[in-house]
Order: sequence, then structure tokens, then C-alpha cells
Amino acid sequence: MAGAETVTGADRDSLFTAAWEGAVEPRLAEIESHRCQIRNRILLGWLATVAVCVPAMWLVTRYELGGNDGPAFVFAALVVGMGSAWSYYYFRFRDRFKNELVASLVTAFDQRLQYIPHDSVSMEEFVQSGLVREFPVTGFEGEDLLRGKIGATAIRFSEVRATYQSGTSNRARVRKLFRGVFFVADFNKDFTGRTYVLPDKAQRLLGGAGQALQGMRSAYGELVKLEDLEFERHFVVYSDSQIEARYLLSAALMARITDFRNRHGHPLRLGFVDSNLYVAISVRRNLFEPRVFRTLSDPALYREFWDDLALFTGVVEELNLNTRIWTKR
Amino acid sequence: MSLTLLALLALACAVTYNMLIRRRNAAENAFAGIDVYLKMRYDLIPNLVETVRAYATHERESLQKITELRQAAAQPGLASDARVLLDNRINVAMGGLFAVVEAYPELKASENFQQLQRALNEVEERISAARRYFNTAVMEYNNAVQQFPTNLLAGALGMHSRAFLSEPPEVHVPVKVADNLQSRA
Repeated sequence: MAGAETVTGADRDSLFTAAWEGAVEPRLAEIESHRCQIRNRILLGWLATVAVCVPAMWLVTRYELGGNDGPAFVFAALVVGMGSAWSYYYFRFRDRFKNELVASLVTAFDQRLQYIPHDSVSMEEFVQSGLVREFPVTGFEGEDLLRGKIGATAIRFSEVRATYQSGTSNRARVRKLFRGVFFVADFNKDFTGRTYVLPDKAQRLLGGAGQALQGMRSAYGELVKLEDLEFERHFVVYSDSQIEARYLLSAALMARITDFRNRHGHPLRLGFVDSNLYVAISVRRNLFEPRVFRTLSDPALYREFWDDLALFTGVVEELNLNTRIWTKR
Repeated sequence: MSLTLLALLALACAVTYNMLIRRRNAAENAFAGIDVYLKMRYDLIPNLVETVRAYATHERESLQKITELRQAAAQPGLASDARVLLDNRINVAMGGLFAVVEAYPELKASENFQQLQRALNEVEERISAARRYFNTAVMEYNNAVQQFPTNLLAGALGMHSRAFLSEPPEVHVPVKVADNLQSRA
């Protein structure tokens, strides 16, 4: 495929069909056979667990082995044992699926992209962007890193799950802070401050009172009121420089961000920090994962991956990041 | 009772007064922001003129005109209205210059000229951003000066509505610069 910038509208179907026929289908038979093997092992494992569990529980109860905790101990041991075996087989299969099928699909999508299944955007970068800062990040994991240069714009993005701890140290609970795709791109303009575009929850919930609340200085900076009413309906902007925020958020870019949000429907946050554009796209699905109990030969599965790739790499074209008419090249 | 009312009235006046001053200062600060970027543009003009002169030897008249306008605009203590007027004339002159450049392919291809184009493009966008901020600040100030009851105190203090800055219709420079660079990308 020529590149992500050419993937638009009707072209996408034919490009996907070519990728399916050239990159996925030839590799499917072996991996599908591997999947059937894993599925059978898992089913057999569960049957074996039940077959062992029932007489073991009867024996433990009948002869009062291990006191009152005996049955629970036996049950827990069998479940842990079965879970470990299941994980071992599943993760080996998943690694193969990602390294062979997803990687070749990514190459077919855009040769300039490199796919690293076990890597992600770093926690330091996530925290330093300051894009999600309602609570301090205490846990962070990620996978499915994609990186490369699309036109003049270097990008990288991965799936990310960030958590925080709530409650006291005795009764601490781990809660979700962000789950989705964290995207980093080299922005096409030079700037020095920090500007954030966040979903406008306060104004949507509380109307005028919400706007008054936003007017108070936030941890993100000073409120920036922009002229694009449609953009303002969906987003709230904070920055440490009123002029720089307007320099970055030109009328054209505001329209593109609104359009991107309306077409894809995912909650969206953008941060302009350290000459980079950070985009946090909330997504509830686990991306690029195989399935064990359903066939892998269904093109719809790969079409979903393809559309995800188009959505995330599309940020470059949709926000026009390849336009390099300013001093930064 | 009447003392309480008086105290409340005084407090309301103080709050309103502070708000009016804050908004007036914000508008003035925003105008100063435009000034900073206008000066950045004036600093680029001599380099641009020299670069064009090296290639376009027949354009002495238009280069001379831009140099004179730049010198006039860079004078200290210029009133804001006069500065805006001169800035508009510079825009027109620069638009003419970039139209002429089309006839000099070697000039268009020169690295120095392209770098100047990029710098000018950036400054133009920063001026436009500063202008947008100024207009937002003026709108907030004008709302306070015109709306009841804050207009009562604003009138007593001699505060009047300010005019918005509109994008001059003759300004084609950023478009031409962008088009030129885009066609090379």
C-alpha cells in the first residue's frame, strides 16, 4: 500500500482485500491449526479439572483431609493449575498470532510502520505529557506499539492502561485512570508552552455554571475561549499562553479536531507539549487480539484491525501534520 | 441596616471596578502581544529585501517601497492606529513582492529565501493568533462596558468600547507563502 494518506473512502475496501489476499490468507492455515490445537487443549484441560476435582473434593470431604479448608484448598489448587496451563498455551499462541499475522497486516497497511507487540509508549512519556492528570498514575501497562514516519511526521502509538490508587493505604483500591490508545506525533509547528484540549464535561453537564467553573484556573493552565462554537461545544482548552494556544489551534485545526471526534465518536484529549502532539483516544476494546473459540479465518476480524490502523494513523492526515510550511521541518 | 446596605454597595462597586480594570488591562496586554510579533516581522524584512535584491535586480522600486514602509513602522512611539495602517500597507506591498517572485525561479529555489518564507509564515500566523486573542479580550471588555449594571461604573470612569481588529482583506502574503512551500513539499 502506498501509505496511510491514500487510505480513504472506497479505496479502503480494495486495499484491504489486497492485504487480506497477499498478507493474511497465505499464513492463515498454520495459525488456524494452532488455534484448534490450543482450543482442544483448553477444553480437555477443563474436562480434566472437573474430572479430578469431583473425586478429589469427595475424598477430602469424606476423610476430612486438611480440616475445614481442605475442599477450598483443593479447588483453588486445581483452578490455579489449570489457569497457569491455559495462560502458557494462550500467550504462546497470541505471540505467534501477533508476530506473524498482525505484523504482516501492519506491513501491508503501511511499510513505513513498525509493529512491536510487547512494547508501548513509556509511562514517563505518558506522565510528562500531563494529558491525563486527574490522579497520580500508580500503575501503567501497555502493548502493541506502532512507530514510524508518515510523510514528514514521526509518530508512535500503543495501547495503554493507566491506573491510580484510591482510599487509604489500608483499604487502597486500584482504579482505571485511562484505557485506550496513546498517540505521540512530532507536531509541525514550534512552540514552547503547554496547551491542552480536553472533553468539555462541565459545560455539557452544568451549562453556564460549568463554564464559570472552567473559568477558574485549572491544573492544566488558563482557560482559552475560542471562536469556533462547534469546537467549544465538545472541548475545553487550557494553556499557559493565550496567543500560543491560538497559534496552535488555528481555525482549520479546530474544524479538523471536531470532525475527527464526530466521525469516530471516541472521547478525545489532545496535548501540545515539548514540540509534540499527544492524543489520548479512549477505547474500551483490547486491540489486535486473537480469539481462541472462534475461527481466525473470518476477514471481518482483520478488517477491524485494518480500520483501527486507519483510525490511529489517520490522525496525521486528518490533523494535517504533514504540512510543513513553518520553520520546523 | 442602612450601613449594611452601604457596605454591600461599596463591595459591589469595588468588585466591578476591579473586573473592569482587569479586562481593560487584558485588552491592552493582548494588543502588546500583536506588537511583539509585528516587530518580529519587521526584523525579517531587511533580510528578505536583501535576498530578493540578489536575484531580482529589476524590482528595485518595490523593494525600496517595502524598506521605507518598514522603517516608518519600526519607529518608536507610533500610535496604535497608525501602526495598524502601516502594517496593512506592508501586507499589500509584500503581497506584490511575492507575486513578482514567481518570475524568478532561482530565487524561489534558494534555501535562504525558502527559510525566510517559512519564518514569515510563522510570524504571520502568530500575528493572526495575537489578533484573535485581542478580539476575545476586547469582546469581554466591551461586554462589561456595555452591560447593565457594570456600564454605570464604566461610564462614570470614562471607559468606552474598543474597536475590534479585523483581518485586513488585502492580506494575501501568508497564503502565497504557504502555497509556494506546499507546492515544493
